[in-house]
Amino acid sequence: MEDPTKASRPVAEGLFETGGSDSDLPFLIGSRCRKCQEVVFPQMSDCPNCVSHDTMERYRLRGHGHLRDFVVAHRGPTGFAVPYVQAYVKLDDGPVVYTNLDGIDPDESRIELGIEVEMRIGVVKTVDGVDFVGWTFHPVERKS
Amino acid sequence: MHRFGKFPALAIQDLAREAIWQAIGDAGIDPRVIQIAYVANCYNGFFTGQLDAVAPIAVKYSGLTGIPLIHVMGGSGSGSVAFHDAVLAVASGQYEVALALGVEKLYVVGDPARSISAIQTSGEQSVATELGMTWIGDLTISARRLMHRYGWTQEDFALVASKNRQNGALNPLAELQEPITAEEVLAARVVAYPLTRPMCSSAAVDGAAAAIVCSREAAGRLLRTAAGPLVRAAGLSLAGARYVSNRTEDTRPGMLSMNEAPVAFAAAYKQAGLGPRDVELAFVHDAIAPEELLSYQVLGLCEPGEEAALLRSGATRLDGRVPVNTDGGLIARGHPIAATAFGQIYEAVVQLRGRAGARQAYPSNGRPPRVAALQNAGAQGGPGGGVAVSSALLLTT
Repeated sequence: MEDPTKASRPVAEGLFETGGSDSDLPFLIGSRCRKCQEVVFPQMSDCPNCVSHDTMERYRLRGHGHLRDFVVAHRGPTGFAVPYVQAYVKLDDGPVVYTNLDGIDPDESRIELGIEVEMRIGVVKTVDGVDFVGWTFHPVERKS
Repeated sequence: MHRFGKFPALAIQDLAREAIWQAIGDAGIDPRVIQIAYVANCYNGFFTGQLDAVAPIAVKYSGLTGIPLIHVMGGSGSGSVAFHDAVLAVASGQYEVALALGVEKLYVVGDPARSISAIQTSGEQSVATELGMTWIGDLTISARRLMHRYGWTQEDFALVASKNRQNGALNPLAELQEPITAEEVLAARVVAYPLTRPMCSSAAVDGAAAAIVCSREAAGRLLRTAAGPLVRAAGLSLAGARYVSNRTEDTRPGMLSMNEAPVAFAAAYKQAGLGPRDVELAFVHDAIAPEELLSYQVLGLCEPGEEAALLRSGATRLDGRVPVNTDGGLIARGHPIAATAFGQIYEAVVQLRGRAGARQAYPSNGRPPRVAALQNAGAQGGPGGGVAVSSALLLTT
């Protein structure tokens, strides 16, 4: 559903939803295997874990997890303002996803592994005036 | 081999013909006996829009026509796949003589982000590179985990970089020919902590290298004026990435380019009837310095956790017992993606023949090495779908 006149588009179709009818929270769209219960992201129909045909069903992945790895990048491809924080997040639902971290100072010494993070949907990069919409994660703020 | 470096005025066919005719001359064959050609190239389509017809363009301007041409893509492993397929074509008996080459143009005048964007297309765009993942970033993240696991330090990475830059300084075909000390490496600009710029190879380079592959029987008949002793592909194996459940611990080595290498090397060693102790020379995929450290383990040159000790002992230096990356590796030779594996093969052949001049390795009793291990891998896909191909190659005289 790419519309070249649109100034904003998702990085790809079918990866996430900005919020469902029974929840205001955005989620990633993964799959779960009926046979071995493996949960994967992005969506698949055939299971890479037990190698079965047509055993996977759409599964909502909550945009919540823990910071598994990160690095502050000082060089990046076209469209990304440096420095930015590249990260892998272990989702509560199982899969590890790539994400940029936002809402955090891109300072190595001030980012801690293992912190609780949650997802938001938003612009991840801008190329030739087009905003690409994807996901980012940010630290969960605890209200005291 | 055409020197790896920045050649904005040259097209892929210009780089390729230099490599092709050098290989033909080196083998001492009549070019008309070549029956098939494999051409590794990844990014011509990205930069020029010419997605297909890459193999014909790379080969026909060398004057070679009338043979089937096969275009191979597989990220940094493209060259290994092309070489692998050329070896199988000859081993099958279907063809007697094959040409295999890698050619890449990645340097863009004044726009390094464009070169990064090109290699990003080897990653799965939707779930990784469009969101900001870079290969350097991904590898750095792995390196940080391994530092923690094995006690590697930033100083070790600097030592790898300065070793390879010293080797590159002796190699007229290397991109970077100025030596650099470990102290200078540590003081350089940080790309992504703990990596400084000289610890990372540059993919913003151009280059080409080629090999002639034939059977032993054909070699005796056709290679009458070869430039040196014949080199044998004694073991050759490719391995692909397997899925690892996210409910179990991933026990692989822990780096995209190395995870499947133990599988590939086990097969290659078995095929050659050789083991890690026989290896006298190695070429490994040091896109970043920590990959070279991990390669010592995956090639079997040391036990897991002994990588830094092996490095610090000097064993992998040019004057050590198993020199690694005598041509400067990816860090100094340069990393024009699809040409990289052929750069490794070129240098291995020169070393095994004892014709490397100032950088000739004499790992044992003052004679040239007899067994070289070559490790290379191609990243395609994204996290969890990791590496399209991991290659293990054993060359012997």
